[in-house]
Amino acid sequence: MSEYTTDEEKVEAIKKWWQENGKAVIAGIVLGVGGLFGWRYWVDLNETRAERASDLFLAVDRASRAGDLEQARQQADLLRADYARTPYAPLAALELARLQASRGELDSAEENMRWAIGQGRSEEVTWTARVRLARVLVALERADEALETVAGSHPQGFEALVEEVRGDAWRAKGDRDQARAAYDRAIAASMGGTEFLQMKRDDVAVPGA
Amino acid sequence: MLQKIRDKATGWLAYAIIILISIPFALWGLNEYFGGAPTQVVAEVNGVEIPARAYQQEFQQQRQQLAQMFGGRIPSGAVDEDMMRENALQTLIRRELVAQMAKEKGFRISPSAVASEIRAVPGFQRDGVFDPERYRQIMEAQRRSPAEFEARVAQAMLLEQFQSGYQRSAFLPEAMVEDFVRLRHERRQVSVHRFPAEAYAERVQVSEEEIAAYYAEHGEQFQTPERLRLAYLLLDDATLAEQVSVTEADLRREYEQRSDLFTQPEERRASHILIRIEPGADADAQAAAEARAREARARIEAGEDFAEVARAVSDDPMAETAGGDLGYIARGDVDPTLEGVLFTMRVGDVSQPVRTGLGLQIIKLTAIEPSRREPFEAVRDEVEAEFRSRRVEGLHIELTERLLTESFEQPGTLQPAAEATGLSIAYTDWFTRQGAAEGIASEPEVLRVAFSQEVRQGRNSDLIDLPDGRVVVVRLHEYEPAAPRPLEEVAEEIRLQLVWEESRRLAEADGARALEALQAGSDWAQSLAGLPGESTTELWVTRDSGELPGAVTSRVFTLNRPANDRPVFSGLSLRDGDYVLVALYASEPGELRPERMNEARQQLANLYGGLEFEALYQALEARAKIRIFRENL
Repeated sequence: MSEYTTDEEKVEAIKKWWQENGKAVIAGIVLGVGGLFGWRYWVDLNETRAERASDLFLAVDRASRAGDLEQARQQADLLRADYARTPYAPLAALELARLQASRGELDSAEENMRWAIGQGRSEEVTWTARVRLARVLVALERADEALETVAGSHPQGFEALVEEVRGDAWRAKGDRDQARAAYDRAIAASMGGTEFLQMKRDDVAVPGA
Repeated sequence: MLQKIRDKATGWLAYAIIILISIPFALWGLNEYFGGAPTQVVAEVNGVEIPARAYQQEFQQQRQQLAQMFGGRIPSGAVDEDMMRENALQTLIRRELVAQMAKEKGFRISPSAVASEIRAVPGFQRDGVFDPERYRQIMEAQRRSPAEFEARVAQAMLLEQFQSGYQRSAFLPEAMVEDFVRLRHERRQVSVHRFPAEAYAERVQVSEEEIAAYYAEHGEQFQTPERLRLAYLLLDDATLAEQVSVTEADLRREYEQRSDLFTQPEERRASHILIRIEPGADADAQAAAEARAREARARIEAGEDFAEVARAVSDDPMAETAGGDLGYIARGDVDPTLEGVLFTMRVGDVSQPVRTGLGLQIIKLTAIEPSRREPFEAVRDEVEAEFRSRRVEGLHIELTERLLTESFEQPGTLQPAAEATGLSIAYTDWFTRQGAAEGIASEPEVLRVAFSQEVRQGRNSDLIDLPDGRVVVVRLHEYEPAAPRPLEEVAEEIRLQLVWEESRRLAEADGARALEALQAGSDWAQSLAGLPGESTTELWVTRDSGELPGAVTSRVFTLNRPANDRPVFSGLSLRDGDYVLVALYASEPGELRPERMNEARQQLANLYGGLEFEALYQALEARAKIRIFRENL
């Protein structure tokens, strides 16, 4: 850096610098401030969208609890069409699947759960849906597909649920050894409430043991 | 130099600098720059701090809930304090983490959803409709701002939506529910034979050498527990009451000072005529009522009997029989306006119509019962009881104070405390950690202190408050440590133990032989012929039928089902040493009854909903950064 001898020279230098770069500096400030406000606007917009999705989900939930399948489906379709990127869309699909399964419409339930799996943006939710779908597939006597659905590595915490439904699939296929091994792993990883699990495990116990 | 900057810093350059400086303030606000005083933090969840204050609140709350479960007071030793602390901490961490997850996943609650939630709270409603005024009043009474309350409602709804959103959509397909009911309500047909260990005891001989060998190996099991005697000073209100001396003059003074307690207030007897005005009546109806009231008053003025007019005019249904009599009324019993009028009238006066909550009332004062003070002699006992209890209370406070000071300042002896309080030192009998059957050594509070480090080192204890209000200070009087018991003393116990062990082995051996015979194909009666114990044959059992010991039932249902009419045999030792032989002949799946199906469907959906959310929570927890600062707990 060169030395300036007087303050006048410094001021001259600053003025010169400003003439060369002033426009860029102002443009930068405008862009920066604009960007900040734009970002805030975008956040607000997303908040509002999420709140609307939340209200729609509450409507699905209410309709579903009242057993009004038609109403629940309409609201869930709205969520699916316009708010697919919010967590409410897969959640509504899962709630709809529950209602359909309770009416014996397992095929529609399957479809909804598959959509939730394809849509889910977090693997915890995807795996919740996978486990539920696998159970439905076992009930539909499609045990092989059930095993495929829960194949691969699952997030921590899902061990017991995944192994239990694997056991169910093997048991449905008549493979008692595989079923027993899976149930044993499920019991080892379980976080409580193992009565059903234990009964199923005893059902495929080693003969004579 | 600075002066020059000041001189030059005018015009556009100054403005530019000021604007640049002010941008961050405009965007982020001042509070970011002035953080409050540092607070104690018990944990940090993904960078969010949990203050010690929140932890203390949670801990107290959980404690109170627990106390309520025990009926107001947690019995000492019933609950591990450290575990309660850990529990409170984990609750807070979990709540914070769930809240963060819900936010991060994009869960939101709209202001209108919060509003309709609040509108639905019955406490904020009047006649079934939300009342903003009432809402405001309740908020004020609780010293909360509505904004803060609404934020809390929104937060609670958010957690609820996140958690129950996943949890409540859980279900098991019908086929699985059927599977559950078939297994859960399965019936199995069994025969059972129990070989009692007792029956083998007389065959068992145990030698002195065996007993000595056992004692040599397991001697440490046979010890006398440590025990001690306490010296104590007990402050008991019942004994204090006896010490309080009372003179006649004391009682006289008490009677004068507390005369309000012994005085019957003045009462006035009145009759009334009611002209009812319905709430919300319009001006015409009110005018009509006033006209009727004036007319009734005029009739009485003109000499008609009050009771007669009341029967004819009053809207009070009681007027028909009682002629409007209201009985005796004390201050505070009736509408304040009416009271004001009533207590300024003379006997026989008839009032102008008075506007009250019911409408218009005309009253007549019929009698006055003046205030009456009970004579001293009549209430002497009451006065004395009152006086004594006050003196005892004062004495209690005073003596507690002295007891505390003296026993603390002279921790090596109770003597000064005894002299200062006039209490005499008493001694307990010997007792162990189990406590005594009665006396202060049976109080859990005392027991905990008695075996504490402090007391065993020979210091006076702190003041111990007993649940019944008594106060005690204890110190060690005599101590006897745990000691091994001599062989002669425990030989009989060891002999019984060895006999039991051997009997158990014999029962098991007989059982195993019978099991082998059964498996080789011989029939039940033949295999068990001549062996001790009893058989129950061809019994149908379910998982929760209580006819068999729990361990046997659970064995019955873990056996493989019999195939091709070949029974399945098994045997097991019970905890009491008996051996049980089981033959399983047949099984029947549980019937799919509607009530069973409904119950199972509900139960399983709840169970798996809970397990699935737990799995989801754990997956998220595994990724979270949680730091706990135990030193601040």
